Amino acid sequence: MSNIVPIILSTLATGLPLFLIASGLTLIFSVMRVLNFAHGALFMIGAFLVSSLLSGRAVAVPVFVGAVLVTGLAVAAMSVATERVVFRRLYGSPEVVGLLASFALLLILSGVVQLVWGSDPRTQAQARGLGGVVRIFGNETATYNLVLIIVAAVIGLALAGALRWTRAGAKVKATAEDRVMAEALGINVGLVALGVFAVGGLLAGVAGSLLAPTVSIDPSLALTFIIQSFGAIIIGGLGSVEGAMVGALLIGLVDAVLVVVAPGLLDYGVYIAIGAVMLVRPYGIFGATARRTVQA
Amino acid sequence: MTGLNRRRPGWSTPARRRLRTLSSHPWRTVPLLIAAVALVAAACGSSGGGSASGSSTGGVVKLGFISTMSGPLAQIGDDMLDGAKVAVAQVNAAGGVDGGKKLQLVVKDDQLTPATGAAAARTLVGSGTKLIFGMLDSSICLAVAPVVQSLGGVTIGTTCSSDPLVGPKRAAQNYFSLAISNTASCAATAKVIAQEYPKLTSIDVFGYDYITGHEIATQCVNDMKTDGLHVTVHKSYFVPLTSESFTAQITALQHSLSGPATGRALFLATYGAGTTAFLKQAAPYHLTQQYQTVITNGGYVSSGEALNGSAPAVWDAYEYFPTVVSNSRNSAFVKQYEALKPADKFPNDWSYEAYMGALMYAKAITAAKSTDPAAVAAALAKISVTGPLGAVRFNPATHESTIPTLVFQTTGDAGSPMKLKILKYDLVSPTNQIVSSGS
Repeated sequence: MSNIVPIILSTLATGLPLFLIASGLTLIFSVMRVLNFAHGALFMIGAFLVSSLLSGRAVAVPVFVGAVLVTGLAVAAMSVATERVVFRRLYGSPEVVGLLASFALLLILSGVVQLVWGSDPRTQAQARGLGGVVRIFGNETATYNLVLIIVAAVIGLALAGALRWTRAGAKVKATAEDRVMAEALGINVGLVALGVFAVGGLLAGVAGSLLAPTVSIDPSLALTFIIQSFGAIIIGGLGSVEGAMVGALLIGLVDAVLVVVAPGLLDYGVYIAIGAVMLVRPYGIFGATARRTVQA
Repeated sequence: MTGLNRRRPGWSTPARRRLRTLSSHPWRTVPLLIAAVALVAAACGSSGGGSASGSSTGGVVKLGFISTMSGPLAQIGDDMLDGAKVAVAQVNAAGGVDGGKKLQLVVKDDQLTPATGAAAARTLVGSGTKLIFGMLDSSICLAVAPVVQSLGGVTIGTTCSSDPLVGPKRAAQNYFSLAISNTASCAATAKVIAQEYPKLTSIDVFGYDYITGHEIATQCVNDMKTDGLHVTVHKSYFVPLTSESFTAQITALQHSLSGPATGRALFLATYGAGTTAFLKQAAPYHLTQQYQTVITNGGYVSSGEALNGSAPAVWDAYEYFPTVVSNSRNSAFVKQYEALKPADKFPNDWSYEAYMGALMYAKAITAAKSTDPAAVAAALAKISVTGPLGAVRFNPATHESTIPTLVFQTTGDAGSPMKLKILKYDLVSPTNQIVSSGS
């Protein structure tokens, strides 16, 4: 029993930041039908940008929030540029072409990051007042982890709500479901794709800048979280924001439990989670869209 | 045996047809034969001794430098190259080698890939540059050394620490290793830790889940026991090499600790991003303060620097730290390095190793009075070069260097240009004796 609260806290602290990255990835997948490797590079650029804006120093919370928003917008603009320059030309191509293009983009953006910022690792200090720990039911958790949990939960709810209850969300879902039919019904699918890439980029930039104070900021960051994010959206069902949330939390839960009961299996946490879900839900927990696509 | 009698698939019918065509027209073969004889003669000439060797043309002696000059670890390759450049500049300023010849570097990128490293070595040796040094990763040294050996060259691995590279049965006889091995580094760490913390009883291990991570952790803990510590491993967590999210492990460690920090150590078998991220994420919990000491084994300085002055006190073992000694050789090395690379300011282990590699070649060439690889290899086994941290030579039997291991404790210092300051250090000889200490 004494382990339950730490496991829950650890699950949330590991899973929800992962969701921040996975949400943008799954959103873009819903429209593009491609796992966008370049998302990892955009996440990395978010971390580099915020550390440059703040020179790595500890700043007041409002300044940090401002830097996160500016970074998010800048990365959103880059994401839009990738859609206009690369991905727009590939709609209708086999999915493997988009996959290769996204991987090429990852390599190019990683190269650009090295040219601009070099290869030396750097760090970003936490905002003043967000260091230290808080006690929850007698268990300590890092204050900043709690901030990440809250921010990720709010973003997740806002995203799911926007997709479910707004007109723009309905257009995105319609485009994701059947691009040709959506176009026939008068939806500007090009604009929808652009918007999805903008929101996806915004999420990647925000995720990168929010996680910057907890990681080593270097070019390897592009691939550090992207594999786990792929795992999260595969578990949740490709293209589903709710699924990405559940998938990320499940990965966090498996990690938190394995640390306690079987630390030697920690390397395999993501794969254990994917395997367990695939056995009962081959298309992921919320994978209905993917199933329909395959059946079609 | 039957395989020997099989027709070789590469010896195809069109190839044999071409041979028949040539032999049926002898007048066509004459110029080809002359050209072939000329080529063979040239090749024989280039493998000869003295200044006729391909690595020495006119007043210049070329040294082949191979390292990772592109990709995520390009910065390390660049640091190595700059160390080598300082050595070359110093040697040339002092009159060069072998009667006044100037050293010149020929740089090749191995792209952190053994096959590319081997291809680079083949290109260098093929073009006559037979004295090779550098290489960041042991897998690349293991690929390069046999190629260089088979083509009649010599290799000095400046950073590789894999055991099969050295010893009497090493992968390539003409390979010399400057880097300290993991075994030597652990032995030195254990020696110092046993002396500093004689009442240590419990160690928690956090490491990368790969063979070296496990080996280093096991070896270092065993060495501490050998040095008289009654330690046991309390908790151990190994994480994937690419991971940077350690909340679960840090929380578990935090909950497993109780009572005073005395007698408890944390051993980090990680490096680079893993160490940086772990220390960043552990900081809010004051996790490192709940241990009497934190120990790691190599490659910590870049993480400590990246932490921008907030690094905790950590023991590390490696070859070099720029401010640990003050002598004229070290001052000259640091000063010239800073001049060459003002943005990075300080040489690191990798720069130092490559610097020493170039100095070793320079002295060996002068001692051999030749750039002939065999003569240089023979000289390398005999010479001694005094560098920033003292004299270094190669063991003639194993080709391992006598480079001392620097075991040092640093802590974050925002006011220092390196963002780190030395708290204590011990220089440990290859025979595992502490030869000097300081703070």
